[in-house]
Amino acid sequence: MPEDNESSLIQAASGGDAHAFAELVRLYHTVVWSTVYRTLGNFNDAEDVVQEIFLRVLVSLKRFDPKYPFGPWILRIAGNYCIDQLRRKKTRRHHLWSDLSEGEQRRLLQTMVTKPEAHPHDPEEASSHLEIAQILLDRLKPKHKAAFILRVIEGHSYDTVAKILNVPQSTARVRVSRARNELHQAFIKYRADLNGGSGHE
Amino acid sequence: MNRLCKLFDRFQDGELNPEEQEKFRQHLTVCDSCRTRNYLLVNVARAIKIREIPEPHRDPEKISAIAFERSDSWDALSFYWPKPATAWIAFAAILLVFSFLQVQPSGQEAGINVEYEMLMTDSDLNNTNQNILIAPTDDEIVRWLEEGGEIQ
Repeated sequence: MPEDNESSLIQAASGGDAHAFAELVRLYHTVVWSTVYRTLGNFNDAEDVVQEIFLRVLVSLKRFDPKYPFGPWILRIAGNYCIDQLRRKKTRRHHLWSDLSEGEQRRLLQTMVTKPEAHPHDPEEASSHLEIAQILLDRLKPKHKAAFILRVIEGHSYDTVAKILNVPQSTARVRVSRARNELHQAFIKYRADLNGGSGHE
Repeated sequence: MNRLCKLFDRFQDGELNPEEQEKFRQHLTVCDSCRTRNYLLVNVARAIKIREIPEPHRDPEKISAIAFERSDSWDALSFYWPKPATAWIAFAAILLVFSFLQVQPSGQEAGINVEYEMLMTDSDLNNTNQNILIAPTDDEIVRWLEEGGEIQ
């Protein structure tokens, strides 16, 4: 259940109070922005998506049931919208390949599975690591990716992930587990593609 | 995959008790698949987590103002509409049902139609026979023409 101050803000905003809504946006902007940015991995896309999410929040405020917490409700809207965007993005096949040389990609992939905690101090190396990680993440199914980001990257409990995704906790667990498997499969395929289809673990 | 491989997710989620955790750590030293997956997941998560999240250009006030501006627009109202694919499938299904109902006449109507068709056919046949019976021969026509061709 939202706190008293939050409840009054929600009530005022749903009645058309722009200041109250701006306050709600201020309260949840950071968490929505970080989740969306990490899920989509693209600044411009993330900014447009965050705008759309808060528009949806405003339009849907009257349907919000104050018995439930407000944070997961906003994140549910964010999660659903991100999943829609990822599905569209998937059809456009963006960000699935790196601009790095094949040799460099091969080396980075090897580092990621042989070093327990690769700490690239060099910013350029860290950026390359991130690029490879993002390519692998972009190959996950949207629903699985959203669950993975919420649980593994954002660190939410399975209970919260389930509330955000509006699924039972067991489904949230299955989605994260499948995301882990898909990530591993994506890695194997990526490495095989780099080796001309002859790669194996 | 052995019994310990099945603990992978619980290990990743930090849900194993100390004894199970120790067993799984030992398992990682001998199981290539689990070790590779573990390193990969740890490194991917780390790379994404340490990524600096840039400050968005739009501040909360601007987001709120734009949201209010657009909240009465048609695209905002469309959030409540069914998703295009679902809507089209439903529309096609309704069309199909209606067209089927239109094409397929009910039992009673079919009976009436069939009866009407039969009566008409009988009537045509009777008329045709009558016409054949009263049809004049060539001689009669010639005679009729010689007499002036007046209609009786």
